[in-house]
Amino acid sequence: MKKKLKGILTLFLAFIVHVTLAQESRVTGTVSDANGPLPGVNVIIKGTLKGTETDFDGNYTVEAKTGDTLVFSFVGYTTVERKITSNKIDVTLIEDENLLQEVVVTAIGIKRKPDEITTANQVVKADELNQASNPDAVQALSGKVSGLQINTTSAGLTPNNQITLRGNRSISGNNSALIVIDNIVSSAEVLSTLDPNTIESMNVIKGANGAALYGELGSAGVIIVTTKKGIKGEDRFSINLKSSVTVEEIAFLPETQDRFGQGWGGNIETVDQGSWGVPYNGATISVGTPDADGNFRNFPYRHIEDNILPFFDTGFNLQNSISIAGGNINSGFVNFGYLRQDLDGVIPSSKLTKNNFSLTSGKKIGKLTIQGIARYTEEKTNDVNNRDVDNKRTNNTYPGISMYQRLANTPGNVPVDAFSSGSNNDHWTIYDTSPYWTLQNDRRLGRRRIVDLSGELTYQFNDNISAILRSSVRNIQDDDQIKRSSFVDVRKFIRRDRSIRSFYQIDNDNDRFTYSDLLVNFDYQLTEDITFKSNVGLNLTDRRYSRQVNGGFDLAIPGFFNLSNITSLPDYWEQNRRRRTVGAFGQIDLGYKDYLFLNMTGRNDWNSVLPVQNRSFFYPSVGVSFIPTKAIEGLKSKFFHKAKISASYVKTGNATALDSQQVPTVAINDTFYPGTGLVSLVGQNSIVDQNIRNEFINSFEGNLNLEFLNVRGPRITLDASASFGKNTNQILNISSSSTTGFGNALINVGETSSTSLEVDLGFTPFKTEDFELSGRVGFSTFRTKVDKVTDQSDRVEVFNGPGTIGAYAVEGEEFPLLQGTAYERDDEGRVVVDGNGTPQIAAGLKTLGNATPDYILNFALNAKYKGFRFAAVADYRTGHVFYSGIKNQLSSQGRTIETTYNDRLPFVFPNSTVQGSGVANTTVLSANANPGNHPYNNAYDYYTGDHNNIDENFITDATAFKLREVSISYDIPAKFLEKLSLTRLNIGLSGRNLWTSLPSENLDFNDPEFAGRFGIAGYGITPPTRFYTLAVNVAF
Amino acid sequence: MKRMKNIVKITSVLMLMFSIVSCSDYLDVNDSIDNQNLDRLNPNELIVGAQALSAETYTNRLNRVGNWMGVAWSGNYLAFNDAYGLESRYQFSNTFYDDVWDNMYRYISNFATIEKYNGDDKNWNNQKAAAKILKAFYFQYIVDLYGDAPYTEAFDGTNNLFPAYDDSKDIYMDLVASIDEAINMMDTTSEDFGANDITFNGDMSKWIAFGNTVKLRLLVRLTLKAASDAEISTFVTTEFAKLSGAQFVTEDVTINPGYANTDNRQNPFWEVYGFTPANIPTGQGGQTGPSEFAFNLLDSSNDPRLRRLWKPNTINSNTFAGTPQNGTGNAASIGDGVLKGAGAALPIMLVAESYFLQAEAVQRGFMSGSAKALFDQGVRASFNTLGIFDSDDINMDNIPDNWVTNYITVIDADAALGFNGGDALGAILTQKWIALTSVSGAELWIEYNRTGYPTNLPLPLMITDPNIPVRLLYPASEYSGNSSNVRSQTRGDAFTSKIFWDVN
Repeated sequence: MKKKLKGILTLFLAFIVHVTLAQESRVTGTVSDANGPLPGVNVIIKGTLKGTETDFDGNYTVEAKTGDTLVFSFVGYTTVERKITSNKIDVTLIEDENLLQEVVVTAIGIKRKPDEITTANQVVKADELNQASNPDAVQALSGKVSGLQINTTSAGLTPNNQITLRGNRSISGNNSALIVIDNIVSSAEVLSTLDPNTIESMNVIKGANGAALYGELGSAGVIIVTTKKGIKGEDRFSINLKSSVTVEEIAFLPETQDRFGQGWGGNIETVDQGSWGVPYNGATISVGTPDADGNFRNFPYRHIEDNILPFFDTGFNLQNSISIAGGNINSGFVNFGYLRQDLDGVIPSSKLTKNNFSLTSGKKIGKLTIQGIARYTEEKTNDVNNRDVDNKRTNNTYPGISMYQRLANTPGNVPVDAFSSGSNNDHWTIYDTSPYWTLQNDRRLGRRRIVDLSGELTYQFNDNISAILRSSVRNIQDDDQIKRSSFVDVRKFIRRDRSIRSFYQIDNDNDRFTYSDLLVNFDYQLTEDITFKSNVGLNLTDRRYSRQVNGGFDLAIPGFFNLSNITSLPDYWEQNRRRRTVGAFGQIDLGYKDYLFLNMTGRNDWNSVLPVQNRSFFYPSVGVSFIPTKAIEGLKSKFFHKAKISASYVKTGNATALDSQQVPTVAINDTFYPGTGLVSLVGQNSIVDQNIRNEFINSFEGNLNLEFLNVRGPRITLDASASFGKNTNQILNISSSSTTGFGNALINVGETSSTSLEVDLGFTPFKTEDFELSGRVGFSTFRTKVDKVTDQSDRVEVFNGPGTIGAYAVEGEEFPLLQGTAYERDDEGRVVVDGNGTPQIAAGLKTLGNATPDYILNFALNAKYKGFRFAAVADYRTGHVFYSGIKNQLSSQGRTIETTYNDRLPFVFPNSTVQGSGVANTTVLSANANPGNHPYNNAYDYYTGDHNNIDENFITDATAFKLREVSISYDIPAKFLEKLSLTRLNIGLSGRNLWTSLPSENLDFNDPEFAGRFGIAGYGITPPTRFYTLAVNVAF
Repeated sequence: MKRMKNIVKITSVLMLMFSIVSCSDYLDVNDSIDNQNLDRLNPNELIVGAQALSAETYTNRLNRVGNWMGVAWSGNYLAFNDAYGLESRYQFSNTFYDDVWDNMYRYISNFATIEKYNGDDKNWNNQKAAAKILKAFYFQYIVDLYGDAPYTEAFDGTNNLFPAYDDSKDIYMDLVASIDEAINMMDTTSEDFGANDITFNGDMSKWIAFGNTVKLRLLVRLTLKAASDAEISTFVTTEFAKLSGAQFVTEDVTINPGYANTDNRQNPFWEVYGFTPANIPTGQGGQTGPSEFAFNLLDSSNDPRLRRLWKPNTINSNTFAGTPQNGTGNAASIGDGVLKGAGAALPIMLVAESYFLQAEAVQRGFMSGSAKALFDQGVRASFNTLGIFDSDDINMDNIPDNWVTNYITVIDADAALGFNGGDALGAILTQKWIALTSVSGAELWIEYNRTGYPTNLPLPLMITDPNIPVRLLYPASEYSGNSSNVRSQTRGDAFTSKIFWDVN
């Protein structure tokens, strides 16, 4: 602090001296480069903050005195200093090739110049990453890399984020990009605990090239994260503080009908879940069960818009972090970080608290460099128990459905918040448990501890040879408890005993992953023009997973949650898994001059999860890159600034779809009768081909990178990448015929071919020192076609949805294809009905659409004015469908708008024809339900029966335009900061998932993204949510 | 040179490390750590689970759909608005009771695994024989409810993921042959079956009697078809002849792996239709009641079994009545003669069925003996199984013989129920329908389709379909997993596409 004060004082004095004593004169001139005048060049008087910048014609004027030195600097050019000797100084700046060719950290820590990279990649630097002050490093990547998607496939306290690059490449295996932090294999979860301020850069390797060296872990692309290592050149500490508060709210709820209320079969039933009552008439009726005093509550019988919304809270997420950095690699550096998060979810009384500590340190001692990283995260959650209890046989006193699903059933006339007393006697229906009771009495407590330790030793034998040894261990320990209190139904209201048994369960799992690399690097300049680099290495991974679950019903002493207090026979089970791989790899890089590069790799993997005879597999890759603008003289101009062409062939192998423990056909303990002395094992329901092999992916990739109009950096960039892949021996978990003795089989399935195209157009229409506007439009498409299934079948099911809907691989068709039941139709497309007017289900299963978008358009807009930054990210995807489980549920409950068709009176099925008649049908649909004295029973019968059995009715257009992120931030100008002894003060406001535009067919049933890659969506923990964040960032 | 030396050094270090790794057993970590390799499990280790799980599907799914389609059960509408909604509206589709097929195949595959076992030098012939008999017992229902089905190519895992369908008649004949084979291979020197035999406790003579009874059932099912099919006619005659003098079951065939009133150990019928270990009545039990037809049939004949099969519905103001299927009425609850306790043994074949099968075979002239005596024994066995209580509602362990005798005498000339009412076959089949209610429900439906008894079974209210369904539809799993072999069906097939023995 003393030192800092002294510095400020000196600066202050210098300023005064400067102001009072200087003899000023005017200096003018023109700054140009090889192509002509250069606008926006910084012209500063050395040792001061005083200066200007060149205008559009490259001219400048500055007040200075003779003897001063002018510093001319501009991004991408070598800085020039000139002592003032006359009052006109013209300067020509030269492009700094070295500066442009900053090295990029690529796979296994190998540093390369961008030109040498033969696969599609994109680097995101710290300032770009932090432009929106997003507190989460994973979310901060969103929209900044073409082809990169961050899909949030669920909501709740710990939403599931999946990072995919170029869509889903493997049909059933791993599709999440590998995250590597400081050359250590890590996970998206660890990345999101990192303070984004501590990140120096992220290199996103989109192509299959990542797998060439990382093996199966990198088969879906790799994101290489490099954190800051101390501070460049200064022996001091810098401190960074960051605080953010995020507000979360429900984004949208399904649109429901507003005409019929609570009831069943066309009668008002004031304790029912269904919305099959009479039309709303505004009359006052009693709703639900009586309150604690035994009084029924009366409400008008009319629709309440979004009546379940009051159940949810506004979520708050408060995040504070401090990071301290000091030193450098030569003198020894240390980075320390602490992050604290306090989150209240949108489900009332759901909480998460997280503490994260990290320490990075390293030092170079002679030829040896040592680096180490230690991270510890502790996360505690206290949430409503939203999952089904892990009970092997049906515990039919307790429905295992999600809170949101139960709420969504609520008829439209029920004011949900009027039943919030928390007693299970106090509910709007007798057919379900009160969600307010569940909130208070059925809790899941979680504690997750992540320990992440890694070390790296580098030994530089000489200028040409170095060796690196890296080792890391990551241990994730999850300790969960379910605590449910009992409810004794003393009223046995009407005819149901709704008693609930108390329950306690502990669920502990441990996931330990160790990863080690030994790598030797060679680096030679073979001739004046030819460079040679090579690496050979060995890699070991070991993953061990174990889980133990113990629990039981009926606590002797209420509220005493301990296994010893369980009076029922406890239920317990254990699971252990292990997976080990060994990889040996080699790589050769050859460079010719500075414009032609060749890269070759080879890797052999040995994988423990494969049968012994198939454990070993080898895969090579070769890539080339060429820079015409450097190779061909005269090609490069101010307009055509740069071109790079690269192409690669990569073969990769993986067995990620194969779980450990699967190869032997194992038996499970499906019924267990403790105390009887009997062993009761049976074959499990899934089988693995005893000769299963790894998958191979052969991919060809071509990339073109162009830069145009170089005026203080390229103004237009075009990056295009096309790839074609042939996957053989895909490992698929198919739904097999039960007649095989097994319901699922994991087999190698034929061949698929994939094509992808990504075009990314970047433009910067304005760029001055103060103002910059840039944007990006990306187009990407990814298709997989099934070329062959198996010798015996042209069709297999790979994902089994509810009922008959499923995702299939069908020969000659796109993958995945949704198939399910559909209406039987005649040649004219009319629905065939029987003599009773009932639509007929077509025999077998029909193709209902595909789940992969035809294309995705990404939009990003960035603006910068002085300290202000604005960024927006949006995308649009279309051409695909999804199956809406929510629509299915709501329609059988009488909640969807379509259930009000023809006022729920018997109707002629639209556009239908009687079987074999060839003419339009005029028969009114008469259902099997007993209409008795309620005319609406036909509609009830139809929507809970035939309509519900036809999957086609729930296939929904998955088109969506999503405004994913909008952010604005402001950096307090440096001159104010100096007074406050700060180096940075930034305030940012951002919003995520702000607006989703869905087609009229999707009446806000769900976010199509929640349907995952197979296009089948059910209820999440909560409806989709949106977020607003305010963040303050202080550095000194 | 120095450079070369370094390269050599480093490469050799790498090679050394690598060889250490590859020589050790680093990768041998995926042999079952905590799971048992199926092929290595001996028959004793598999047969308990195999017996228990197939019986569970039998009692909960086959029984349920059979009791409904056989019009013994109805939904208790006032307990649940949509009680038996799918069944009452004949919502036949390929997901309707598809677990009957899926679970049956899955659990029968355990018997197939036992049959194939050769993991040691012991013969395990008794266990293998029991597995064959149980496989035939359960597989018959696959054919009876679905017709043609994969059989010879089934149960082969990934070796044959798309098994072809066998003709249902061929399967029937092979099931009969496999029972003969099982009986022949029983062996007193085989490994001890003992307590692992949760059906007969290792008593092989009882397995022989059970095998004979299963064979009898297969043959009786074919008797009507024999009139129009020469091959079947010859087959039936030959096989019945072999059964001459054979021993059939003389007591209820039940299993009990150690059912008890604790979680996951309850008798599976009790678990679904009875009470939780905390004595909370289950929802399924609450919504199950007698059909109007079933209730009235017993009530009008003053059948003492009525109050054992059904009891007043305590959560519905003690209603003691039946209700039409797809109606909106209130009905009685499942009685204590069926719902015997959380720890009670689970019946898979009642001795009454054995007598009624014999009675029918005799009556049709395929076997010798007194049909009337067998009929009486069947009724008596049914009384025995259900237990009878006297007018004061006090449970009695021993049935007063005169109750049965009295009943048989009273109904003797009854057109529907009595042996001498003019239609002895009808009486045998109707009495079997009563006796097997709520226990072997599948038999109610299947035998109705075969014989048309009991006569005048009503359709659910408002049903526009022409008749009681004749089969289940092939399940969704076949359309997703075996689409090239499964025959395509529509809902209409459930009412028209008859099983091969169905000549009605």
